[in-house]
Amino acid sequence: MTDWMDQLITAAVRQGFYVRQTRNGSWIFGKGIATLTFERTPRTPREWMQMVNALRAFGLRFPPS
Amino acid sequence: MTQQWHVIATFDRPGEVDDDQREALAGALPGFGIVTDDGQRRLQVEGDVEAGTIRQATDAGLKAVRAAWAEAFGVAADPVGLRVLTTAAHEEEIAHPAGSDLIGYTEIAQMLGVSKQRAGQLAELTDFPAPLASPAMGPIYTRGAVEVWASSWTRKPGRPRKTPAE
Repeated sequence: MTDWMDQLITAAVRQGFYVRQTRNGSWIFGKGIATLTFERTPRTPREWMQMVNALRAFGLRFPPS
Repeated sequence: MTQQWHVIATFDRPGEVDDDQREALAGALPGFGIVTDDGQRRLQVEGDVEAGTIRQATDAGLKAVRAAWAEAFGVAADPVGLRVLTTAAHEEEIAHPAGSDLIGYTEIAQMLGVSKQRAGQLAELTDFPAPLASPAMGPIYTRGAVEVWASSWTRKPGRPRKTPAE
């Protein structure tokens, strides 16, 4: 799961997103004036799918080509 | 017997919103909370509730998003839109985006107020979203991805037309 998160963050940063994790464990992805906030690191396949889908809707190419 | 339902609620953006408030909102939502802020007019929140029927899921979902909003912003608010669907339906939806969410150069041109040719040029920019598919008829993009890109796009004035030769 950690590896997935690393890959997602790397792809996002390379594609112009800013990414940070708060002290409480939430993930914040931003591009331009738009922001995506996730409560925590996904724990289940469904939650991973939700995170990736939400980021793709923001324009993220994942897996990166 | 209860099942899990996915709830998506849209609120009017209450002016300035900071990361702490978005984090509080995401944390207060049931299930895996997600907050989408377009930075302009809308905040969309997502979470999951357990309920027996769709009516019960709607009631539970509405109650949950209202409570999460109040916890994050300290004021009561009602969403301007609410969607409730089974987790199976939600998984199917995110695996296959709906037709109205898919756009091509024509729709992109209309969205940006440019020509179709210009839309194609903008799509070549490195920060433009990748197409979902590239059939022979032309690349297809998700509307949301283009809208996010467009929110930070600055229109550059084009080259002035040449005057016709006399």
